[in-house]
Amino acid sequence: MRIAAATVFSAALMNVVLVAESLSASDRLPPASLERPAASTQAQSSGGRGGVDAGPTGHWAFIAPQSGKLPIVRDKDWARAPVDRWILQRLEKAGLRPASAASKMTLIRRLTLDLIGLPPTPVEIDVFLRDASPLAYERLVDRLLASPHYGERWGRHWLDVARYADSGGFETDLFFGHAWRYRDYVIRAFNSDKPFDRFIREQIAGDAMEDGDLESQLATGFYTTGPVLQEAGMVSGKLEYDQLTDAVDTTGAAFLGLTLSCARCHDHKYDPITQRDYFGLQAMFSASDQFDFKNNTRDPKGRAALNSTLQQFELEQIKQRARREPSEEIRKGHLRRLGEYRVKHDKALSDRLERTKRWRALSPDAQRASAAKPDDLVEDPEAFLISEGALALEGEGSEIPVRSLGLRESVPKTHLLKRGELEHPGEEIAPAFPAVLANGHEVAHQHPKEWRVSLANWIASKPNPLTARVLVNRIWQGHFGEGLVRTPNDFGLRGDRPTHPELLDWLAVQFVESGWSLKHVHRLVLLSSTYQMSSTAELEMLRRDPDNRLLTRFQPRRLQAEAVWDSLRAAAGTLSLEMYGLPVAPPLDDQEQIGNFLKWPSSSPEESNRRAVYLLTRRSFRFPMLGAFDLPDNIASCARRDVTTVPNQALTLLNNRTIQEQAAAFARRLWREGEGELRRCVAIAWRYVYGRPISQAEVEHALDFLRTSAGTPKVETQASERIALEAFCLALFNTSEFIFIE
Amino acid sequence: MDRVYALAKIMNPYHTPLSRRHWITRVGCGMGAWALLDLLEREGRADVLRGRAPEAASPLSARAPHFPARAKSVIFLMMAGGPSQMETFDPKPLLNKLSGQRMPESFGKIPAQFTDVTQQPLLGCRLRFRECGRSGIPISEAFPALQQHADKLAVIRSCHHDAFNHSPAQYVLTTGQSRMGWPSVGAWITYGLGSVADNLPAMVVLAEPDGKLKGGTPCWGNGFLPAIFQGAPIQSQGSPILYLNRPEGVTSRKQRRVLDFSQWLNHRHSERLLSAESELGSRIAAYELAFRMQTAAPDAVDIAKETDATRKLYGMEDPKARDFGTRCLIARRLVEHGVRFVQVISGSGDSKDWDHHDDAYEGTLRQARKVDQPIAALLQDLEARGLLQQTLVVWSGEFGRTPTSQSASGRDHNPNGFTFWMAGGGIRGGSIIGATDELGLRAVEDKVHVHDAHATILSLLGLDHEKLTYLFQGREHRLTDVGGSNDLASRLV
Repeated sequence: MRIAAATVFSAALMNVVLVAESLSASDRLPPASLERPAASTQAQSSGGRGGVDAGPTGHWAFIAPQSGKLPIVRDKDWARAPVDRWILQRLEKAGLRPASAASKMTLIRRLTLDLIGLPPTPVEIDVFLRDASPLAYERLVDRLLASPHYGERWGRHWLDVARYADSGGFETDLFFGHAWRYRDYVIRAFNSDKPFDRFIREQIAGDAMEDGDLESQLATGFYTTGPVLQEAGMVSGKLEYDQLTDAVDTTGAAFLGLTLSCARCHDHKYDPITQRDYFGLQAMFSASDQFDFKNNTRDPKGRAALNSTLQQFELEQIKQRARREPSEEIRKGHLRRLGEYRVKHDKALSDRLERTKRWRALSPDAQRASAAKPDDLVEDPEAFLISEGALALEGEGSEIPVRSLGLRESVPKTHLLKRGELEHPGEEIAPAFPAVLANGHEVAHQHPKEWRVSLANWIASKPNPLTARVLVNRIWQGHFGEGLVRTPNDFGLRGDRPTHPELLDWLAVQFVESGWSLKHVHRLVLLSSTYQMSSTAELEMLRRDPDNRLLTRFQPRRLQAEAVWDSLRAAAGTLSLEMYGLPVAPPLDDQEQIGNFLKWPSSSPEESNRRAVYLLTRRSFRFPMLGAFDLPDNIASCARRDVTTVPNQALTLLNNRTIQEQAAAFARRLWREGEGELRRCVAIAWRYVYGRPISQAEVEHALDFLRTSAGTPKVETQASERIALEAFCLALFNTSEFIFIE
Repeated sequence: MDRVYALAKIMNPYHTPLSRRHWITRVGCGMGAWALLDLLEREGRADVLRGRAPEAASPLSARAPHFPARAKSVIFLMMAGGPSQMETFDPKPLLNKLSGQRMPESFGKIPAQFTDVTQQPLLGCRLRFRECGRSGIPISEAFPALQQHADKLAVIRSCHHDAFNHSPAQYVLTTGQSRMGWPSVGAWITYGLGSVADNLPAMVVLAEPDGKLKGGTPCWGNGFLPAIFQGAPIQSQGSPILYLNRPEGVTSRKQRRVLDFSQWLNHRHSERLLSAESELGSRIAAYELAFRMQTAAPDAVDIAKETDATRKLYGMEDPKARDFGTRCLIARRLVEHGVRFVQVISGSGDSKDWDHHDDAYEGTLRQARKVDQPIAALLQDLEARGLLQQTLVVWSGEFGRTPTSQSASGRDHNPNGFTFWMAGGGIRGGSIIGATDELGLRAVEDKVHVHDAHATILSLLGLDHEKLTYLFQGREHRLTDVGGSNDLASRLV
């Protein structure tokens, strides 16, 4: 019985392979079993150099991309953008047609959620639908690319790659009081379309660049926000080694799309990266340490000084509240707390207060009898605390330090470590680029100060075969859910091959030639017919191109955690669009904090409706609602988030207290805007939640739901209708259409 | 035959060849299903999928092991903080003799967290040991109830690893790696075997009521495995699973109405969007499972359903033992409901619980008092119900402690040699494996690395630790990394 079953099942699997092979040999889809590529796989793709593997050194991704000729296609009308040519070429070869064009209504929702991570407002939808100009879509693309919220969405993609977090993880979960300044830097860089080569150089060597500034110094937060295991009794050198390991691994993954970490303990099994190469890269970082800079002055203590605490973060929270508080009385309370902290940590001030206390405790007689009254007596201790608090807020010492990489006083030698173990140092290694990728480049500068600059310049250089390809692939993935290379952090021999190698190369070349402009690449992609296809798939497409590797259609996808968070609030009308600043920690109850070892520094309820990109990201504890929707763990570079469907997502969206609150707020909005008339309320709801008009069947069903929920029609009251409306809003938040882009 | 046919129909309503995307999405969980299919395929075990209903074809469906299993489920009693081996299961007469003296130089040095073992005086153990049962396994007086069950235990005295601090060591104990972000033992096991619990998570964590553990959630995380394999923390009080309880005033009927309305919309959407029909279908199924869990999970943790005698056995009437007893009792109920892996945690890794830097004698007595009766009850109860044979019970801290003292009567961390024990799950009780040196500083005989312990646990469940792999970042990873040995298992059964 079992054997028979196995046979039937294998036969089904075989079918997959057969279908794959029914396409012409050069167009063959990697069958399921080959998609997780083995080193021996020699799948050839559509004729180009890109797919042919000439062994490790001739590996397609290690040869600089070149812009080929645009392919000739039959359906020239469809292929309006260069991108479309390569897509259509493969479709035509396979005898497939692309899906029809998506409606304008679908497009504005898709584009808005994709580019800024928020749903379009009903007004924006109306404006776009009314704009009959052929340029309407292009104008929409440009408007969204120019939106400040673009950086909040696409910067977040980069923060995944940069494994960004506000704390170091492990038991101490060392708090990074200033990590958010790197997050803000990333958002600004995306918004201003900072040339990406500059963006790379700043992150790797912003502190040492000739034309560096405060902003570029902040950029090295890329390295100062990684995981830190900092505990007592650590083997000497372990912390440094961990940090070097994190630096090299993250650099390799984020910029080069390589899994360098494999080469730490032994020569890479699949890619031509040796252990020597690995430690050559570590050596580039060996001269660097993390420092805090205040008023442009470096704290000389280096890492030893980096003990910012949760308490300091809470102080920053109080400062922020004090700055914003309109009520003088409440503001004074904040200042007093700041003052208390300042006095407690300043011996001269606390002594003075102590002397005052002692003096006042004396009886009048004793006061007279004692030696002269201290001349620095505090007249009014309350006012004293408040004025000290005001100084902490705006005066001396209020500046938030910048944490950046900097140069050590003396440079420790780098040794190749046998098996990657600190206890087994081998030969000394000098800074060097990986041999197979160096392409004649050498670490030109002998001075340790130049090492990272040299690394940065090499990575962000036009001849580097990986950098631009890896980045344009990330953009493609952001737009389509899957990259042209479906292993976005592994362009090595074990990685997936590009589905459209020449397209990848063309985009990479365009990207570099445009001055490394991300927004240029976005436009190249977004203005294509490929991006504007509908999600409607015909059976033939699903059968022939089940994984959409040929891009027969626009594959629908679930929103990422942050976009779910933001969309709920956008619909409910509660979203705060305030940008930048201290991380926000929406209050969590005890149960939500299970597994959290440290205090959760709750923000005020008003701050809890900020966009999710501003939420506090702790390595040792994931914010539960975002965790349910596959937030990465931020321990290593994450190039592509999992998309899981698990029951706790349903529980989160049904029972979570904040969901209930948002549903109630949304219901109030609908009641107000629909002027208490249910039929209007539900129609308006559809526009906020799905960005489309409600259908007749849906109206009937919705009204039916509201009536049964509100009780029998006869005793229907406004109050019960409003409660029913909350349940209705909750139901909509739980629908697939709401959290899917199509 | 018929189940596979059913499965094929479910996966593939249009009778088109199965695609990878269909697999991934249809079964509800991205890479997991794929990896699973791949795993089965590579091992020629595609026959193990059981497709009775849509959910039965999920990544959590029960799957046959690599070879016949002895145990079906695991209860892992994790003593966070690092109990002292010298005060519990590894008596050291020489240590008592040399108490107060410096350690002989021949023992050398180990890195410890706070102290230098060559500079601290040795600390004798004040707890008395008794040779218990027919096997004569020595157990200290801190565990009077457990002493009655010595013949069920296999005590391994030579466990070791090299992480000195709580969090990294807790990660080693639970994931085999000292860094965060690796799949836990329970995640690997549910990935390998799936679950037979219909309306409950496959892996459950029962932590202290305040939920605090130094290593935090990575101790029961899925790491790079699909999220569906992560441990679900269940609370003995309040809402057992996060967001499981309906908000106040919302009845099951009311919620069902909300759900019916949104599911009506979900079905329409799914029918319209053929290209995502599989993802959308599994989302609809996930809502139904969530709804059922709201009834099933509270029922599984409802110890009011137990007899007074049982509750008393687990220490419900003893304020000190009540917390851990409740969790042990829930663990038994969960195992009965088919949950594959239950991780019951005592302590957080703090000096209040098992981290006895200040007083190893008092500390061990105090903390053992909370767990001794519940653990004994668990073993007795499992046996009485005929569940002990198929339930592997494992007891361990993240490390042991130094024979030398700290703050006069406490002991420092020591991962170089410590004790864990196993019971049930088809192992032969009443045995002692391995030994530390005469002072208890290092494992010296028959050394068992944590990887070996993990390999053993997998092996008892019928899983080959070298075959249970997952491709991540270009490499086939496994629980035991590049180490681990099965030898222990063959000697235990």
